[in-house]
Amino acid sequence: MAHAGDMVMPSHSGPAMANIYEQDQLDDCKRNLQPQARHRQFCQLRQDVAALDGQLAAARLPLAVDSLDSALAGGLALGRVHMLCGRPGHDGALTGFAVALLRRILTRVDAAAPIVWCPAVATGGSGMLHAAGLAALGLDPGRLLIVDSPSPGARLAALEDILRTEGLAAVIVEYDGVNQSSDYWMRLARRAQLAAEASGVTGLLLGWPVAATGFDTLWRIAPDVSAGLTASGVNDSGVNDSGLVMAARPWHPGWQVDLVHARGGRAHSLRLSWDAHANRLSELPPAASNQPALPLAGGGLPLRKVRPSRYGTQMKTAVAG
Amino acid sequence: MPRVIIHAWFPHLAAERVRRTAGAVSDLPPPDILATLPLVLTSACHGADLVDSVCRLAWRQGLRPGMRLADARALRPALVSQDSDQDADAADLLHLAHWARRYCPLTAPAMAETTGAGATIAHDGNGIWLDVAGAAHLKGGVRPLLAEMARALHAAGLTVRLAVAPTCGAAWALARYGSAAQRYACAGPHPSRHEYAGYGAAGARQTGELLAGLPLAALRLDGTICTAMAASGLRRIGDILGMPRAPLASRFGSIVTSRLDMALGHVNESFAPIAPSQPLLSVQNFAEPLIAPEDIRAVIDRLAAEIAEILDQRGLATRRLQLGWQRVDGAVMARDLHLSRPRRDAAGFRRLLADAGEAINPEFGLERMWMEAHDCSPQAPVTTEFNEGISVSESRASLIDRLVARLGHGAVLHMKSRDCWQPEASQYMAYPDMEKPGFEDSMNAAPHSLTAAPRPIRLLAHPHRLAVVALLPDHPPAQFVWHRTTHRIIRASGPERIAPQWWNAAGGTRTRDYFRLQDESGACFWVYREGLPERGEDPAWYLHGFFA
Repeated sequence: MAHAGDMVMPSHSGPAMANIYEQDQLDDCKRNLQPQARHRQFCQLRQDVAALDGQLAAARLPLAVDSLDSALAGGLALGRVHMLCGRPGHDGALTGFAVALLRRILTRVDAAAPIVWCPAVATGGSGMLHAAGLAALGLDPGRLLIVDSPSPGARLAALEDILRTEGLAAVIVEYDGVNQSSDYWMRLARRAQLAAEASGVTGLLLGWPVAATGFDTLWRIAPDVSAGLTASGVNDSGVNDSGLVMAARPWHPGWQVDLVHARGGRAHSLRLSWDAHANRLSELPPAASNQPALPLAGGGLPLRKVRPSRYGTQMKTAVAG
Repeated sequence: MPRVIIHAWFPHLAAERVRRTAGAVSDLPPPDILATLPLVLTSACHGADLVDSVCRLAWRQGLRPGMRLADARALRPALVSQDSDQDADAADLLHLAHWARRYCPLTAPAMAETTGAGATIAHDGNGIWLDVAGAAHLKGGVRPLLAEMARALHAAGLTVRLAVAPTCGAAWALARYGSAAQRYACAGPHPSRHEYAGYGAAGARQTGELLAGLPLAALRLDGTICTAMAASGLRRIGDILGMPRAPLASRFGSIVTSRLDMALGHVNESFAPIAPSQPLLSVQNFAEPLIAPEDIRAVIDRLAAEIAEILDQRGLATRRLQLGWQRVDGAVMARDLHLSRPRRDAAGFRRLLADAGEAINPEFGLERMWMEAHDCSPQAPVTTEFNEGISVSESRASLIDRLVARLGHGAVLHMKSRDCWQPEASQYMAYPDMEKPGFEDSMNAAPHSLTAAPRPIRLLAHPHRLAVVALLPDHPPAQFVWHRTTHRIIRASGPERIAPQWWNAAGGTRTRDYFRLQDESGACFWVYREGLPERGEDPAWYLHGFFA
């Protein structure tokens, strides 16, 4: 084993790679290093392992938020499939965050490339996409190719086919609360990932929290209480000063973003605000202590186990259920 | 090969069409009154309206094609005149020729020859040719065939004169100038092979005897030539049958002798039969019932390749493929495949039909499968070998095709905006128009972009009635209940007033005041109050959307 590692990684961190699999030496290594250096070392090791897996081959799209980018090991992987979950009542926030990611992805692709969006059924509780609202967030609704199918299963089944198409900007599939086994998700994730890698098209799945694994990243999105209206300068008393039409100031949506799992990266949790006009994500300071805990649906969700948090800095909220 | 030519002449074709479609034309009298009036069709010629075609009633009253309209009016002041429509006449004849293919494979419309010299030729067309040699026995002989044709055409409301002869020229002459006995003289009472034998060898003499009593115009001669010959005492075909050829040709033109030779069969004259409209179809019949899914898939692949080749040979591309199958129990089923743009590549068809095999339930086996191409349009050949990667638009179009094949017709849509303030009416879904390259039709400036009024990212298709706690008259809600959860509002802004379009609003639509609300979990809602308290209306609150 050690010998094989030597052969594959001859140049940098060769000895560390050779020793990493031997538990006693690893413990030794941990004991001897300072926390900062240890963290760096682990990041390096992770990247090396990822390079062996071929994981770093994907182009990374930095989201221009330092802590998030480092948790994502450089940025959002393009040509992969990402899963964004939100509680049933939070469809607006979920869609908004997807649009924010989409706008960043669009900076990297052909300006005429269409976006395929498979929305949930229009008469459902989460409503339909509103063209004016998308336009207000800087996304041209004319670029969207809406795939209208009432069945979430059919939409997910079409995902692989869509992802295999070259020349698309991105694919967004809303799966509502489709009830499927983890086996189904595993298979879907694998097939979708292979298709996305072949074509280089990034996929986003939006829906309720489900027992899904195998996607490149898994996010939990919730609206953020301190963002929203205050950013526009509207007073808190209710009706704004003019009392009539809204003030012509931009307002920035904000989210409580939980990166539950990232391949090649680590879990992370932060509050984000998005300036749609400048297409800029920015991190908000952590909320006050009375901030309600991250709401999760239905209790025990078999999420991916997070590694022991000793080596990370912000692991506390990456909980499983 | 002896020939049996049938000529069907429709003397009142155009007028009968006008009568048939009279209900749709507004400047004609009502059909019941029109039926009692003579009808003529006219066209302008050298500054005068000439009668082209007359109806049967007008013919009986002495109106003839070639008259001036003014003369005809002087004779029958009550007549109705219409402009003639040559294109419609030609289309009718073509249609009839196609119809006549049920009797024999060789049919053609007889178009009017444009001589331009005299009015007598103007109605020379309006007929169809049939060559029923070798096909008449299927109907029990020529005479039963003619009877059936006449019956069918009369039932369709057409006046027709049918004539049968060994040559085109003779059939033409008999149809117009022959008596009933002469017209059917060559039909023969018995449907045996022997009766045709006489047409070829002894034909000229027999035909000459048949035509002898007909006027010279029956030889398809110009009116001026006929007049000149009449001046020399030549009025009937029989008058020139025995005459020496050379003086006849030098005096009246070689057309006279050549037409005579055509009518008698000395010179072979033929018509150009219409090409049948072949279906774009490829069929596979199976000796053994087909059950195995892999076999079905292989057959679909073969059918796709065949239909692609047929389309390629004809330079066509299809927008709709139909895959049909027949089970051994006789059930016939089909599946349509709509394409976003015309195409004819076998590989593409095969990809689109990849999961069509699973949709087929063979039960006890399939007897036959076929594939048919519909909605075809011409397409120039495309070289596919040299372009390495598929072009982007190609890829998108094929994506749409695949999605439509998978999810059904109308599954792929485009979002379009409409110039309307009502949020639910401000957008609609449209089929993507792949004929236009690219997706560049972006949002045109909708009214909401003129103000910074917020719009939600998701809109409920049907606004959800809310129970709210709000101060009257125009305060935003302090809390509302939605999905059995009480949402306490911590921030609000608004209102934005959107009045209904009074000019096309449905009854009961009221003015709305929209508020943007944020509850304590941070979720943002778009909520409106319908009905103005100051007008005495009872306000009702609705949830209409979600912000990002």
